[in-house]
Amino acid sequence: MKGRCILLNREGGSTMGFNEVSLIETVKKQVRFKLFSSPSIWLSLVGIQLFGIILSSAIHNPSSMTTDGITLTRISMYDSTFLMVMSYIWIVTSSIGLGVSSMRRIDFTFVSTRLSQFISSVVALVVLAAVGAVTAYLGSGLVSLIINLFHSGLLVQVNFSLMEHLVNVTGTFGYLLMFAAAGYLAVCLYQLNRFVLPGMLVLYGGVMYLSSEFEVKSPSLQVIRFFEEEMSIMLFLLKVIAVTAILLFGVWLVTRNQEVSS
Amino acid sequence: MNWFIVLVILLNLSIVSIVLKKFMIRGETKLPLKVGSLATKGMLVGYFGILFGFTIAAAFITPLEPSYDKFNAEEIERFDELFTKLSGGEDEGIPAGFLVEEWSKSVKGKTFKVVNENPNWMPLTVFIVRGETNGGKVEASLYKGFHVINEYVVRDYMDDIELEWQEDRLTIKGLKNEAITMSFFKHDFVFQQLEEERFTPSTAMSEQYPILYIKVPDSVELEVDEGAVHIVES
Repeated sequence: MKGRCILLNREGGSTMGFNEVSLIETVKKQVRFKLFSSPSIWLSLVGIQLFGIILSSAIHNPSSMTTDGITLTRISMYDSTFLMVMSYIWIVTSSIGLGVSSMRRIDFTFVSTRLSQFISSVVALVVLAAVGAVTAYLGSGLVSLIINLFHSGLLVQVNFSLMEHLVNVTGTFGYLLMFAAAGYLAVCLYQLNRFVLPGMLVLYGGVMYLSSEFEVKSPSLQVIRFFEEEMSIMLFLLKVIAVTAILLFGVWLVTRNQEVSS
Repeated sequence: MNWFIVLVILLNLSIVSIVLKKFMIRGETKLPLKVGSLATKGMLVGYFGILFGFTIAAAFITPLEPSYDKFNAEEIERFDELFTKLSGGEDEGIPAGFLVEEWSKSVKGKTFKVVNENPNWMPLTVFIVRGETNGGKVEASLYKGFHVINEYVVRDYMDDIELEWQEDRLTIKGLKNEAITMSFFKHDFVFQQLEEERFTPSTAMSEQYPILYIKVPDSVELEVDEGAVHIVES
């Protein structure tokens, strides 16, 4: 990005002097500040994911198969779903943390504009999603290791090649990024008006009711299927980028005219 | 299981909201810990390193190819063909790989008995065909079955089946019937969504009993529990 932002004196409009500040430099500083000024984001990542790893390692789905009324097979199925759920919770709470007014006020202790604030938030969300995706994916390996230590002869359902690992991390990143963008938009809407979110929930409930009343497929299920059924990495990324862009555009619309209070 | 997931999520959200409320008062961020930027980066790199190390360890400790045969859809299809043929009285052109053992026994008396020693269940699929046989003997063939759980073939499935031939009597001996215990680890759906081959539980489970195919000559009277076997019309 080559643009530069020129910050004028806010008082009265008369210019007392020019301070030419690089937009990229401002964004870099803001991103660094957002990500590392508060260790709670990363502490919570470690804490929540370790909790998820413990849950995934300890809880299994037992089942047994019977033949002619006689139990023949007992199956213990472990998976890393708890770890992923915890990662979703972390990314949503972290994006909410980024979006709360206190953090946004902190943004303006820098020499910055709404644009640099917005861009730095987007970059911060992308970084959070990337770190969350990699650690969640690696944590899944740790879960299988822990279970393997306690269950000899554990069968791992799928073993991936290097390329498949990369594809899977990319897919995980896509989901986390969408959750992050949705969480950030939610907190922005909440700050715009405290009735917007409850109103949207009521609207959602109404749509769900009408869809069941008229026997139309549930919109939320269609959204889930829209992503879940996609098996092409390129199309999946296109969908993720499109939805994330829409969510972030919503953030921009909501925040661009908001006043900065100290 | 679902209620537990909901409970865990609610617990987490409660903890997070309490923490946010406690440490974010009147727009001021009160950090719970005095940790510097460098320490934060160090912690993150350390966490990443530990996870990476464990992942490498898991790759070595978890055998890539466990000593279980993987699910083979073609084999199941071939077994289905075998089943269809034998159930129609056709025992020609059966793949040799399925055959476990063959017998050809003379019957001294007038009656041939098939007895199952296993109470309440028959561990084999038994097809009995009446007709002409070579030299008026009872001919029997045992074909192997298989049990597939989550794409893996259960080892030693029904390998303790024992058939005891006495003069005019075939006894299917009692099995130990010990429960099989298997533990699996499955990656979260997200980790395998973009794979070419997805794990589909419905196609990954299959159990086919071994098949015992018996030809009994018309001249011999057959004594068997007809509810436990299939009499094939030839």
